[in-house]
Amino acid sequence: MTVSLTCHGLSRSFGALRAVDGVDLDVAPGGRHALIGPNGAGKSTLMHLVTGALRASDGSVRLGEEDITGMSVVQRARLGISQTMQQASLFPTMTVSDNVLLAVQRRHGRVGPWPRRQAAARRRVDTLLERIGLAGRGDTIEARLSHGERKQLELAVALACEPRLLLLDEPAAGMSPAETARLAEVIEELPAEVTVLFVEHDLDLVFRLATTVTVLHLGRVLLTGSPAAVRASAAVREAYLGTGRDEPLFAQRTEA
Amino acid sequence: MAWLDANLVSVLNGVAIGCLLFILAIGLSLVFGMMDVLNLAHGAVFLVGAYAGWVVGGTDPSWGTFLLALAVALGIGLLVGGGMSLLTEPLRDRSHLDQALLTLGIALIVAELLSMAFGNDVQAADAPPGLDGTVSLFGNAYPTYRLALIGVGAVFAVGLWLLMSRTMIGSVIRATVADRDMVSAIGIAQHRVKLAVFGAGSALAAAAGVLGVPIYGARPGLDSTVLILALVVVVIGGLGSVRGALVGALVIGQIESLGRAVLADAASFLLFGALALVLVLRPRGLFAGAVR
Amino acid sequence: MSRAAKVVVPAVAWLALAGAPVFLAPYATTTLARMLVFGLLAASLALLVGVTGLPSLGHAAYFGAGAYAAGWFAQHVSAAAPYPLLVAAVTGGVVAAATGWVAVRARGVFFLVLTLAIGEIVRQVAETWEPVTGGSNGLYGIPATTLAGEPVVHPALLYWFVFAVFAVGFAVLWLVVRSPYGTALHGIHDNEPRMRALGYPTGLYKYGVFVIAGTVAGLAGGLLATQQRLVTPADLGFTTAALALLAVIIGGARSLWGACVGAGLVILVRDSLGPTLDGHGPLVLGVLFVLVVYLMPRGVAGIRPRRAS
Repeated sequence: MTVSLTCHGLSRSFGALRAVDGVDLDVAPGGRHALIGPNGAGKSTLMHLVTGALRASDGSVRLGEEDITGMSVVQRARLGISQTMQQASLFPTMTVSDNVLLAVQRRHGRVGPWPRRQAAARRRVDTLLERIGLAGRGDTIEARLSHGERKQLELAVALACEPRLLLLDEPAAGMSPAETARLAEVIEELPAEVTVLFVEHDLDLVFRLATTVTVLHLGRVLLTGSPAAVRASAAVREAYLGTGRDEPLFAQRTEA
Repeated sequence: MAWLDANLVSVLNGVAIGCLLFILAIGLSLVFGMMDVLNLAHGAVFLVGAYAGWVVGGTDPSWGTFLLALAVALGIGLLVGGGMSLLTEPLRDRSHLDQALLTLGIALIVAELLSMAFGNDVQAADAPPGLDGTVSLFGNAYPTYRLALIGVGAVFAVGLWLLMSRTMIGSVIRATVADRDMVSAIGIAQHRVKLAVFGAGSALAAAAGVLGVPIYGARPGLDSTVLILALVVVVIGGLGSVRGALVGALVIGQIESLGRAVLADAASFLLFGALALVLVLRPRGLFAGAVR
Repeated sequence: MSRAAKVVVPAVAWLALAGAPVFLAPYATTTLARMLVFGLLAASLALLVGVTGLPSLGHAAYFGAGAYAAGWFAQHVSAAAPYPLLVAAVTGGVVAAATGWVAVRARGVFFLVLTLAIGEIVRQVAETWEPVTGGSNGLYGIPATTLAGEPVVHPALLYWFVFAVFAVGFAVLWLVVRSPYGTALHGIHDNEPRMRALGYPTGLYKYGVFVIAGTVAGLAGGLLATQQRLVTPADLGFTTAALALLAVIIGGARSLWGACVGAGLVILVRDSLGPTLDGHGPLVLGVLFVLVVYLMPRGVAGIRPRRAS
C-alpha cells in the first residue's frame, strides 16, 4: 500500500544549535520529492529524523496514518522505510551477493539457525544486481569495490528491502556521468507505489527526477514547490548565493 | 539506629575500601576515558606496589619506611605506566580486544614474575606506628588505620577535584575525555598526554597497593581480585569521570564490606546485580564523560 | 584452497580423528580427548568472537557451569549417558541466558569488561558454594559415565564417546554458521547499525548466539567432567577463558575448525611445558598473548579497526 510521509513541526537541536527547526514536509504517496539546500541546511539531519537514527526534539513524523515519531530504527525499517547513506555503509568482509542477501532474507525468508537452500532468495539477489548494473560482481568482496560500484550496491540493498518509503541521501555523489545516468534510469524505473524522498546536490538529476522540491535553509523550509517554481524563486537564489549576485542560479540547459 | 550500631564497623570498612578503590580506579578510568585504552594490567601494578610496600616497609614498618615504600611505589608505578604507554602505542588504531589481550599478557607476565620472586604465601604487614591500634567509635573498636585511609581518600578526592576544576592540567584532562581529537588539533600532543596519564594512573595504583598492605597484604591472585573491582567501579561510574569513580568506588566498597557481612557469599550476586542495574538504566555508566 | 581441497582436507581430518585410538597409545588417546573437549569450547567461543564480533573474556563460566552440573548430576542422580551431558548443556545455556541479557546490552569494551566480571563472579560462586560445588577443592570422584549400564573407562571407548559428542556439538555450531541466522551474525559483526536499518533486531540476535555458544560450552564442560572426572574452580576461571581465547585467535578467529586446531596447540604447549615451569604456566600464556597481538597486523579477531572519531 502506497504511503505518504508527513513531517509536522519537526525539530532537532544539538545543544544551542537548532539543526532542524520546525520543518513541515509533505511527501505524497508515490511521490518523487527532492530535498535541496546549501551545506549545513539540515538535510541529512532531517533524513536521520525520518529513519529514526536521531530522536526528534520536537514535532512529529507520520508514515501514512501511523505516527512513527517514537519508534526505533528497527521498527521503522520493519514498517517499510529503507535508506541509502551519504557514506555507503555496507558489509565489507562479505560478498556483493551476501550484502544484498541480508536485505532479501529479512524481507522474504525466515532467518532461522539452520541452513536453507534459499534458492528463491538468491534468484532475487541476482535479478536485483542485474538491474542495478552489478551483474557478475556477485562474488566480489565489498571492500574491493570501486566507489561507484559501492554506491550502486548501496542502492541495491535498499531496494532489496522492497520499501514503501525510500530515502536516498546524495545517491549520485562521486559518480561519473555514465553512472549517474544509469542511476537516474533505475530511480525512474522504480515502482509507482514506492514513495521516494531524496537529497541531492546534482541539480540536473533533481530536475529530471523530482515532481516536488523542498528547499531547506538553516534548518527551516524556505520553499516547497515544483522544480520550475524553485528555479525561478528569488529567495532560493539568495539563500545559495547571497544578496550581492544577480545571475540565474540554475542555468537552463537545452533539453536533450 | 540499632542496625547501624551493629553494622557501623562494616559500613566504615566499606568507606575505607571505597577510598582505596577510588585511588586505584581513577587511573584506570582516566586512561580509558581519555585515551580509549583498556589497561587490564592495572591490577598487576597494584600488586607490584603491594609487594614494594612489604619489601621496603617490612612486617613492622616505621613511619620512615612506610613513606619510603610509598615513594618507591609511586616511582615504580610511574615507570611501569610509562612503559605500558609505549607498549600500547602501536595498537592505537586496533580494537579494544587487541589492547585487552596485550595488557592481559603483560598482567600475566608480571603476576607470574612476582609469584616466582616472592612465593605463594600471603605476606601481611602492620600499619605504621600510631595507626596500628583501634579507636573506640560508638562503643565499637575500629581499626585506626582504616579511619586514616578514609582521611587520605577524602583529602585525595578534594585535591583531585581542585586539580580538575581549577588548573590547566585539569582542563586538558576534561577536554581530552570529551573530545580527544579536538585537543590534539589545538596542539597538545596525544602521545604525551597518554604517557602522562598512564604514568600518573599507574603510580596511583601502585600507591594504592602500598596503602592496602595493612588490610589486604600481598599475595598472588590479589591482582585479579582487585582488577575486577576496579573495572566494575569504572563501568558503573562511567569512563573518564572522577565523580563516577568516587561514587562507584564507594558503592562497590559497601558491597564488598557490608554486603559480605550481611549476605556472606551471595554478595557476589550483589556485585553482578549492581552492574546489571546500572547498565540497564544508564548504558554508559552513571556519569559518562565522553561525548563521542 | 581449491574447492576439492576444501572437502578433502576436513574429511581426512575427521577420519583421522575417528580412527585415532587405533594408532595411538592410551596416553596419547587421552590427551587427544582432552584436546577435543577444549576444542569444542574454543569453537563455541569462535562463534561468539569471530563470527559475531562479541569479544568475551568470561566464556569459561558456562563451560565450568556445565562441568559442575554434569559432575553433580552423575554423583547424585545418574551417571547414565546422555543425561549428565544434557544437564550440562542446559545449565550452560541457562547461565548464559541469565547473564547474557546484561552483557549484550553493553557495547564494545563494556561488553568485554562485563564478561570478565561475569566470569570472575561465577568463579567466586563456585569457590564458595561448598555444598554443591565442593568449594575450592572442587568435585572429585565423579563416577564414570555409563552406556547401557556399562561404565565407560577404557581410554579408547572414552575417546570415542568424547569424539561422538564433540562431533554433535561441532555440527550444531557449523550449522548455525551456515544458516541465514549465521549470515546475519556475520552482518552484525561487519556493521551492526546497518543491520538495524535493515530491520534486524540485533540485540535479540546477539542474545541468541550468546545462549547458543553458552549451551555448547556447557556441553563441552559436561565432556570435561566425563573425561577428567574432576572439576575445580580453575576450570571456569580466568586462565581457562584466556586459553580458550588464545586458541580462537591462533586459529584465525572466524574459523570453527581453526579454533579446534588452536585448542590442540594450546593444550599441547600447556601439557608439555607445564611440568617444566613448576606451575608458572601463565607466564608462557602471557608471553604468547603479547606476541600474538604484536604479530597480527590486522588485529587478533579480524575485528575492524576503530575508525578515528
